[in-house]
Amino acid sequence: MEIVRIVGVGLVTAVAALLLRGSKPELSFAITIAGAVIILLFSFDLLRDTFGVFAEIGEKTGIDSELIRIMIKIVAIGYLVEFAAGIVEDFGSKSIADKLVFAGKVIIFSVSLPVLQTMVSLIGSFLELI
Amino acid sequence: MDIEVIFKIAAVGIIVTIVCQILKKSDREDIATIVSLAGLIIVLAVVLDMVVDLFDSVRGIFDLF
Repeated sequence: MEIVRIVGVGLVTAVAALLLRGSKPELSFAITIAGAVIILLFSFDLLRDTFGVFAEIGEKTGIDSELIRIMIKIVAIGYLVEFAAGIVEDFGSKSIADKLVFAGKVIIFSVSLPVLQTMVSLIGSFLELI
Repeated sequence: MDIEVIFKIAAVGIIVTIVCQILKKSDREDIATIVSLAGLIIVLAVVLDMVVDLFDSVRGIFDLF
């Protein structure tokens, strides 16, 4: 049912942005940001309880909670980069959007380094067993 | 509830456009630019406020930093 409201907000934003693009392009830029923020805020509420499930799975299966935190952090970074790059690209400066996406990838890679370390140490411990 | 913000910004935009047209017709070009600048600043303040809400909720949900 929520999807109907999200689609509604999206359409209204698009129409308002188009309406203002003729006379005041910068205001339509602001409307696009506002619409994007509303849709993201709305989807975050839906995402909130799914992360509770992740935490429970983490405790049950004994996965190190640090890895779960990193995974959630990567999701958040992906969200924000997608949000910013989409808006910036929407207004013509494609190169800046590409820079944002590239920076997002670099940050995600640097955040996920501990995961690589734990994996390598895990493999090392296996090899010693054999 | 949240669509009002978009309607408000669109309303500000339309009003600013009309006022600018009127000012341009009565050849007060400089006041027109000031009015459009003021409208832009008001709208950006509102949008900035919303982006701050977005980042707060991101911090809340993902307890990032």
